[in-house]
Amino acid sequence: MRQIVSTFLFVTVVSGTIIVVSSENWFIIWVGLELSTLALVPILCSGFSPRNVEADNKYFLVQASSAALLLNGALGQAWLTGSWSILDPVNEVTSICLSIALAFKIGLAPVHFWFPDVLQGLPFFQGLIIATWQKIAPLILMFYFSQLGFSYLLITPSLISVLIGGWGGLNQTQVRKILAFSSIGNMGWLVITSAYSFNAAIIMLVIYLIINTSLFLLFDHLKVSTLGHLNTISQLSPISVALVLLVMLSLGGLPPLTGFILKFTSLYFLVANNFIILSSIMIIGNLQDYFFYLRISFNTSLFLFPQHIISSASWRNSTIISPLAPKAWLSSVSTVLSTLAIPLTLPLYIIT
Amino acid sequence: MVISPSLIISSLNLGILTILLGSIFFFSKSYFSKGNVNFPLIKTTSACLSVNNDKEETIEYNSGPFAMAILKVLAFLSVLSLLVTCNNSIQSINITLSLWLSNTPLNISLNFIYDQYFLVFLSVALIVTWSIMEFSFYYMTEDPNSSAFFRLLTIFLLNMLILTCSNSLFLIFLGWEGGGFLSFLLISWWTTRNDASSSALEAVITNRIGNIGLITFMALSALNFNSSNLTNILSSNENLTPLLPFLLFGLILAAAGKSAQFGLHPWLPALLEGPTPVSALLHSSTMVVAGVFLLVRTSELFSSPLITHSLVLILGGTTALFAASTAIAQHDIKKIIAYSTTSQLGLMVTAIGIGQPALAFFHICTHAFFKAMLFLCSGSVIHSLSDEQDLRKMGGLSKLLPVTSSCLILGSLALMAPLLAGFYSKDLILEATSASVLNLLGIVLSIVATMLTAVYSFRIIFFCFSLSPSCSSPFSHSEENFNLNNALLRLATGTIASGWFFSNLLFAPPSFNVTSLAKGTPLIVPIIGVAALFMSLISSTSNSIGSNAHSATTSQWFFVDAVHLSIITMSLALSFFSSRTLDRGWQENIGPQGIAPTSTALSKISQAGQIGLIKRYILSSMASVLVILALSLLILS
Repeated sequence: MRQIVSTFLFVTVVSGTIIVVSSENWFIIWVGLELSTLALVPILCSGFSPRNVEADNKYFLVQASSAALLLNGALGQAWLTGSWSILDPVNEVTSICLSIALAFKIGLAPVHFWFPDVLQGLPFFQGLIIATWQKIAPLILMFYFSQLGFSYLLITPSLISVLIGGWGGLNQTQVRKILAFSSIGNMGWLVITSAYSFNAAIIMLVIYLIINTSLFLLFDHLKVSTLGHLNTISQLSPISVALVLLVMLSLGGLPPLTGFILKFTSLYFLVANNFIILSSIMIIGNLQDYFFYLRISFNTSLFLFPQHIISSASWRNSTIISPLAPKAWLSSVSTVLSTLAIPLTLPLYIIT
Repeated sequence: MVISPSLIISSLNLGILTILLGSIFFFSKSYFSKGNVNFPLIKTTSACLSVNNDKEETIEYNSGPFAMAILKVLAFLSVLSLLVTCNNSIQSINITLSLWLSNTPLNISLNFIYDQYFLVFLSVALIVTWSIMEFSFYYMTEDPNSSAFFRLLTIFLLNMLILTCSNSLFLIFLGWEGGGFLSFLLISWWTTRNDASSSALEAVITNRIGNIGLITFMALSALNFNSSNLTNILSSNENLTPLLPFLLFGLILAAAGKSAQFGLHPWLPALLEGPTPVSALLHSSTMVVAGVFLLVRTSELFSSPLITHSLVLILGGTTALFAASTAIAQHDIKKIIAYSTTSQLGLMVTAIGIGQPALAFFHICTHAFFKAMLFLCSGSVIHSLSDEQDLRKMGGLSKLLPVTSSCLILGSLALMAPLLAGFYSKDLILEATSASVLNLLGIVLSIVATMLTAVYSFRIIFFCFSLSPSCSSPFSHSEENFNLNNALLRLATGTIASGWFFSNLLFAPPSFNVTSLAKGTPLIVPIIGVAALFMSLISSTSNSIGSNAHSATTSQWFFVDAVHLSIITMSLALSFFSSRTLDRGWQENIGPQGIAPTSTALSKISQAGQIGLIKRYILSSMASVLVILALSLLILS
């Protein structure tokens, strides 16, 4: 793809998200979502392998149907209230339509099936866009949406998705699928927290995006697609062993790392609002997440699989990227932020 | 007076605590020239950190001399503050330094109380520790890590002072725990010895039982009086709450654990595995009296129910009698002194039981001097006889160790001869016991214990001094060491003078109306005891070992064996049942054996949904959304 085309597409994706986040008109929101989806479709199939195109198609179909659902809900809303504003109180039926559409977009539990499959078919960098940037717009809408009224229709899918995220990842050997399931679980956490505190959910979103970005960038750099390959990291790039380990544990929420604040903020608000039993269910779901995070960490740092002599010398083939390359710069900054930034997050926590 | 005496006292005492805290971090630097032959031991065994190039002199860093000097200065300062209190009748000074934990329902503050109890205890503890530190500089010269030893002693003293001067229960707990922990470290000083490690474990476990009591007291008083401040708790008017028995139970359990009362006593003799200075400091003069001190501090709580008084009285009496009867047949010189300590602790608790906490405290102070001295003497004897602890193998020590042996006699006599320290307090306690209306049993127990005190004291004297030398190599030059002699003589002065000083200048001892018989009892009973000892020695020097009664007392009435056996049997039986039902039962089925298969099954089910067909994905998504909608409509409507 020519550079000018890809730049144009990227700018469109970004502008679509910005349009969604900054508008309060349902129609404009639909336009923004469609813009970013349509611009993303060519980006995703830039590799043009069959698996890649398949994943791209699935992504497009799901996004198109959810956007149709969203437009349907928005039209119903406009028909009933005579206004496109998202601040108007929503009707039962339209709220169901809108929340299903948004749940489709972020891959919340009962409508999550497409997400691991799509992510598996894409390279890590394109996966990064789907798993992080494309979540921002629908999630912010979701947060607004849950401010409008306490909805069991959001709480129940979130709880289910925390559990499904755990169970789904347990039996996986593909790194991208594991990341997808962990993303599903984390979406559950974010949406549940947003029911109680908008600010807390925003903070969680920011931290989660940073951690997820650094994880995808790391794996993109290391090109490890299955658990079996994780073992070669120690030969390819020894320092990445520590990085993968720390970022993984941070995603799981180990206390001195940044990810702890993710879980802490959420649980603080949930427990403060007497959400105790259900938050313990969420913790159980997160424990399963933690199990496969630890599996990745162990495979990366502690285990030494029996391997062929050629693969153990694969460091010879590894490309050395310049420390000033944008990707290296981005991954190092996000890795540092996603592991050591807990002092920075404390003021955020106070704001909430 | 321009400066109020309370200001002097509080600043002096805070200064003492601060200096003591600071002194932990400093070394003293000593220069030794190579040619000097006076310190061969020090030079070979302690760590020489730097050696000068000309090899003429070595510099060594050791915290011992510094600690000695600091303690000396602090001891003089504390005596100064004590003298200021003598002249100005100061009841107590309450100092709140800062809030420790604020914004909690229960305000925890750094709250100190400087009353007469603390001031006297401070002086006694500092003088005794000074002497013991000096002694241990002599005793521990061959230890490669002696610096750490002196430092641990200082930290221990600091903890003890925090315990005695604080008014907040949390600070008391800090000192209490710190003392227990440091005693653990100090007993297991020679960690490679199996006995030392197991004794340290025994001590620390028994102390935990006492801690349960103290924590019970803390928790209940926080619940009941909503305060962690001891003064508030004692002056609170809600004494007749239903929780009071539990509060008192907690206190008694804490004191029994820490002060080795009957039932929890076996750790005290086991502690002798530690170095002798540790026994002298922790297990005779300071740490073991912490429990009694806690009872003294909280004695106002004991005022109402008489049953508690009787309980404490019987507990103390039993301990005194048991320990004294055990002490008469021990062969290890340190064990005799340790059991004598237990017996005296029992006597102190008896004094609490008859409602005379001041007398118990008086006995603490006098006891500290002569018991520390006795331990130091035994340490000196053991050191001089090349680690021989068996009393039967000693003899003729007065020719070998004149200073030590005279101090040993003085310390043994201190409990029964008039005008020596122990007699002042002991006489008062016995008098108060016979004047009290509480319980005949308490009187009988304490009188018999007193008689036995005379027996074991004289036994030490008899075995050590009247026989001809029976040790293998009667050679010693240890009494040429000033550190030993100074320490012993200072404590001997304390033994002679402290009783008189305290009773005339500091405490106003209560007077009792007792018959002349009761008054004479403390004098007559020891004489009977000594007579009995000599008769039994004459009649049974040959076959006393064979008698069953003798073996029973030698083996501490088989208390340890019986209790350990029963506890172990019981807990083994219980743990068998628990492991049968829990570990190998339903807990295993649900836990380790249950979670993994369940998760695997669920994971497989959820994986079955990932078939890769986008039509099915969207269909199943919509289906499950409809199911959720239908369910939520059913449940919510």
